[in-house]
Amino acid sequence: MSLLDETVSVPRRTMTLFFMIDTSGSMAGSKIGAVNDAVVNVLPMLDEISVTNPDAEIKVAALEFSTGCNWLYNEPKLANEFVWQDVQANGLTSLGAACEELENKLSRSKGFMQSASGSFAPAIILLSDGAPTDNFEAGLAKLKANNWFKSAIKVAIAIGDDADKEVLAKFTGTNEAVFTVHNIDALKQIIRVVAVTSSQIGSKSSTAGDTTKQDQVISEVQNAVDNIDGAEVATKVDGSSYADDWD
Amino acid sequence: MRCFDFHCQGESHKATDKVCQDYSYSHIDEDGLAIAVVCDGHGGKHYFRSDVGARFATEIIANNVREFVNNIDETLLVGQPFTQQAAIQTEIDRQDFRKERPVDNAFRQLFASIIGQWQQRIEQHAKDNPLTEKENEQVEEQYKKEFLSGYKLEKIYGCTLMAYVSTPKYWFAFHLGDGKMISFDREAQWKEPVLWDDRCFLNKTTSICDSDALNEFRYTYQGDGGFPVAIFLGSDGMDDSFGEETNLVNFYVRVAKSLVKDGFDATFADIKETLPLLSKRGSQDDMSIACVYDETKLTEALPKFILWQIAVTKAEILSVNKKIMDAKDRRSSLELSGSYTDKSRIELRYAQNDIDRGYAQKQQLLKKMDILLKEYHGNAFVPYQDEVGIAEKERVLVWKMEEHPFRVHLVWEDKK
Amino acid sequence: MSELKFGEKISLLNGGYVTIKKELGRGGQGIVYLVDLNGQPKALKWYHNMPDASFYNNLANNVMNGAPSSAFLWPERITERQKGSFGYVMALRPQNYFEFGNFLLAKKSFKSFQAMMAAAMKICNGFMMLHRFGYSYQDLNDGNFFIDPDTGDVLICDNDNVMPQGEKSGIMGKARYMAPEIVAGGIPDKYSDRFSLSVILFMLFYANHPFEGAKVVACPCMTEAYEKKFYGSEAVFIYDPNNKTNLPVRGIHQNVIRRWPVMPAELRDTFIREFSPEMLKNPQSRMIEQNWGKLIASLRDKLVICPHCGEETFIDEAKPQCMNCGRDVDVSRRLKLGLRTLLLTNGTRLFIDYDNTPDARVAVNPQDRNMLLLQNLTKEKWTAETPSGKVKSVEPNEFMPVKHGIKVGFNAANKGEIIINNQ
Repeated sequence: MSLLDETVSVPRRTMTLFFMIDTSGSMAGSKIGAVNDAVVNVLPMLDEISVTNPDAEIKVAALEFSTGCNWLYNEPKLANEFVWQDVQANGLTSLGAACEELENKLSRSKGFMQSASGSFAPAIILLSDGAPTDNFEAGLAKLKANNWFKSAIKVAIAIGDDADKEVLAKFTGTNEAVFTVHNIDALKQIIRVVAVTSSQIGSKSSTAGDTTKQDQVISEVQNAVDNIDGAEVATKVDGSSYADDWD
Repeated sequence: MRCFDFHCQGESHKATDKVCQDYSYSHIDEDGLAIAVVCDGHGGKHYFRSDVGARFATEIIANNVREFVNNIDETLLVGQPFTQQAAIQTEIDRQDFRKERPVDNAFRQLFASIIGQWQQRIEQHAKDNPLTEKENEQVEEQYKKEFLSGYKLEKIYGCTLMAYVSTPKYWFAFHLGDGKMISFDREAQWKEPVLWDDRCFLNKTTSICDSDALNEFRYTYQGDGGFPVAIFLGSDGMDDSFGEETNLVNFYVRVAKSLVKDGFDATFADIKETLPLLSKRGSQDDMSIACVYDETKLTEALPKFILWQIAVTKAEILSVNKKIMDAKDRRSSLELSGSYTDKSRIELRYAQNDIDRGYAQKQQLLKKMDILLKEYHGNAFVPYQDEVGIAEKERVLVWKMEEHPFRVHLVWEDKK
Repeated sequence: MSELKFGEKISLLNGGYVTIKKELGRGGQGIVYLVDLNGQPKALKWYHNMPDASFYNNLANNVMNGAPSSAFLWPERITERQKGSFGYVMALRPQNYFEFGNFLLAKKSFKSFQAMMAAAMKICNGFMMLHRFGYSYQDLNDGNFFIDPDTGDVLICDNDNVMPQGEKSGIMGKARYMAPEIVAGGIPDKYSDRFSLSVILFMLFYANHPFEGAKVVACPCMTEAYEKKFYGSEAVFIYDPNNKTNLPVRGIHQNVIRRWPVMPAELRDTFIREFSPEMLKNPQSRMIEQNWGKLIASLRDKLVICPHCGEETFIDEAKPQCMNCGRDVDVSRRLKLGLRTLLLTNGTRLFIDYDNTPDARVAVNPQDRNMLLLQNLTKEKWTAETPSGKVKSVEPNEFMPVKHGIKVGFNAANKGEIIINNQ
């Protein structure tokens, strides 16, 4: 007889992968096309990681932001169930509002997260080709006070030279987690690499105090970037480095 | 009073040939002093002797608590109502008229003695036990250097700790770090007796190796005659396996029921069998548990424990019902809107998925419910039923005529 | 146990009464109420039990004699004996004063070293005045002191246990703050108060107790027998250079571990001496309040604003480096004031006398960034004599240049000279 009978439930642990996608007017055309294409193609890979991973299953959520911001679905979905709906580009770049909206959902009571027991830190991938047109600093300040965000793996993809890498570095906490792409092919590849790496590392049981999962993701993506033409680690910008409260 | 404790290697540790870094202890002395301790050594590469640190912490807590109980002026605790003290972390912004109370100073002394003796033990251990061959091979250079220099040695042995202590006149509990302590009263109501520390979040935790460890202790005491009927201490491997806290509590309820119905030996044997399985299915982490319970009172409270499970299951069923109904509504409005876009097709698929998943969950829940109802009412129990049912009936499209305003339209109806 | 109700009127010795408004807090000895005295809000400490006649008479005497200094929240009026007990009236503690215990637990911290030094000075001064009045403090502990973390101003409360020297109030202080000879059963006097003062100052500077190290934390429960050992017969200073059995322990005594090496060497040397086994055994040779005052003043003279990072730092003249940013600090510009030397860097405030209010501020000449200025923050005018013999006056709020050889008369008692070392 086992104590784990029908009356006891042992749910799988979960890790949520967030895409934050800039859908402002400047993304129109091949950029947004590449994003749509890349995400659709990476979803089955995430599902595979999820299915073969004993540690945790992976859920996906996506937030697009332009003049306002909008979740593709009002809950995170399992990778194999997430049906990508192509996003359209127009409007401004309300990254500040997107930060606030993400902050809203990074909570258990009113948001997308479950109890911290049994959860892994989320991974957040931010894609942008421009500079915020709203009060980014205020939005980010709120987000940075969020415990889930503090623990999250945060990576940003800067599309082209117009992207404000300093802003992206502030978001990720380090300029090392900002990767720049200069062509459509590189964009597709980097989305795949970042999403897959973040999911692999993010959904593994880890041990406190070692190199953070974010650092592991950064170093793996950096290695991969060396082999992608037209992608690079963002040149050194003066991003305020974000130190953890708990160390 | 009875007690037990058990700790075992986590599934992920088996794979990497890492020892179990949890340690547990429980004992009931002849004078009625009951002690339960769980310590969880940190898992990172930095903490390569945390298994030793956890064992030392456990032993020291057991010894020091005995000395504390034997020497403390009982009047400090006897008569005290249920009182919780949080970790000291933030600056206060208001005037604090409360003077330091002797009972708080006494606990502070106990906690300081635990840290102090632990520091001593690990220093001695490091002196007596130079790096082993395996450590030399596996430990990263920077940590080896720290070990050899003795600088912040405590990191290498770092662990969390929690303990429950009861005497015939009072009880107290303290906690530093993560893991969960759950206590049950006679009404089968549960609570976390010791306040949580928000610095413990996901894989971050406070620790005995922190520079401010003394201030990170949080504790609770009670001496007015109220005692937990049963209390469970579990390392974070336990709560990480269950996700939502009610699942963890439900497991402990399951254990408590087994203690009454199957007896101590059978239950303890089950625990030993179950925890490794749980690690495999759940957190993959080391697992440890320690428990103290009052056999008589727990036996009396048994029906209430079952009722608690029934109530929780009922709530789960109702929430699944709501999900099913919502999904059905979404589906109908999409189906009947007449025009399909890409987006509405996707939404339709999600609605159908949610319905199917809802019913699958519900079947599980009903099975559980019937087991519990049978347990409570005996063989004469009435199986749980409601109008949402356990599976979707086959549906047919029928023309329906409304009388006023007169029109005919298509609707889905369950097949008769 | 006696408690008072809202609206109750309590008559005072020598006439008048107070009206109970609400409870402010309670402790082992009594309850503190907010009361109204002739339209003024005051605090009333009401004892749980009737203390004996000598206690009452002593308190009545203290009321009559008045407070030794502004540091004391002194009993202002005493009630008639009634309702099985009695109490005394004192001023309300103003906002923003926190119990010293909160500083020890790091629930509250000083805004600046300047505030910390001001608190030390005020406590010292309070003790000095108390002893000049012929009193000794009997129940000294961290609960008696309330400190404003921003200014360092101190209020000493619970002055009901102040007795003429040589008499005993019957209320024993906490062993942690008692001199070893009192722990062993002696009668408190000004010498034992001096010991308590050095403990309080140590705790103020380092936020840990001078005798609480490895030895003390070895025991899980502090019994009376242990107390007598650790604070009395076997007391060992945690940084006793000749006895390392009681070193501070990481994870417990983190404050002192962090601060001991950073605070000035003079302070370390003084505590090592004051807490040495010889000094513990010889109460008469303990440092007097005036000398503590001098030491604190000399520490404050070396407390400057770092020109690089803008933080406060103590300067060790042998190695003038900022303790925050580690960069060299130029301390060639000084003010000689008798035996004292005050270091001048931009932003530093100078304390010429011992009244705990800054008397001068160092600033930069906006026309010449290399020239420092001294601003007169007092209400008196200063008289300065230039090296060539010209006499100038510096009105309140006015500035004067920091130039080698200028002699400044701050007031009748304090005359200084500006020295620039490389000139």
